[in-house]
Amino acid sequence: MPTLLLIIRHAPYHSALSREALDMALACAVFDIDISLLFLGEGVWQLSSQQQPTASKSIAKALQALPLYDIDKIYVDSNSLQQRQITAEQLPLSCELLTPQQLADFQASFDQVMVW
Amino acid sequence: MKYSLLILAAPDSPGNYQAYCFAKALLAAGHEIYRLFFYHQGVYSGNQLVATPQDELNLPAMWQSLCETEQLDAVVCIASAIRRGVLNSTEAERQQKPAANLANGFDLSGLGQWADALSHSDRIISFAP
Repeated sequence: MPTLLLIIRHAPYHSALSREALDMALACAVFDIDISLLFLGEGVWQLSSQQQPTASKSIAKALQALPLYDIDKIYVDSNSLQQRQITAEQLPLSCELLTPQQLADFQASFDQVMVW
Repeated sequence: MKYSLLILAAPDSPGNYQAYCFAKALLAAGHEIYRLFFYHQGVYSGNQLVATPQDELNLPAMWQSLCETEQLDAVVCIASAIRRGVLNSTEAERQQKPAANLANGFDLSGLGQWADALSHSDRIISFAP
């Protein structure tokens, strides 16, 4: 089975994309695909614990389903967090931080990559 | 090589046309397209009711034609499609909607088809919105 990396670069709530990214991750896990997630750029907003959406379901809450599906390889770009002044302690999920220097090798280590 | 393409972009967005051009280039270069998977706003590519002005590209019609000519396996994600009003006759009936609009040559199916494509393709390329 190939290893898969899903890179999430989009902010939550501007469309159903975040919800559908999560559905894709969960479906892959159900079909025994070894999937990891990387939050990068505007994507790190999905992890913000301050979310209180009025017109849709909370993405941060939905992401907490990931460990229930054995998706525990979750990575975040530390530079993206810093640029947005989000500290690692504020993240609702246990994620591993990566530096920008590590990103290229990290991405290359996967058989397949999806970038949204 | 075997490629599968994930199309997230709506037909009137550049990513969708890029996916189309890429698909054609792959076939011209002798590669095989294992599956096209239309997800998120990409599901609009399967809407046969689209009528664009004469001087604009009609991507849904172009995809339909390509899939037919090249016998491509084109899957539209059923969950993404239903919430956006792209239905085949079975779903139109099930959802009690007055009409169906999924073009011939597209299959409504689940994310399992993309999981299958992941295991059977040498490369997957995503076309984001």
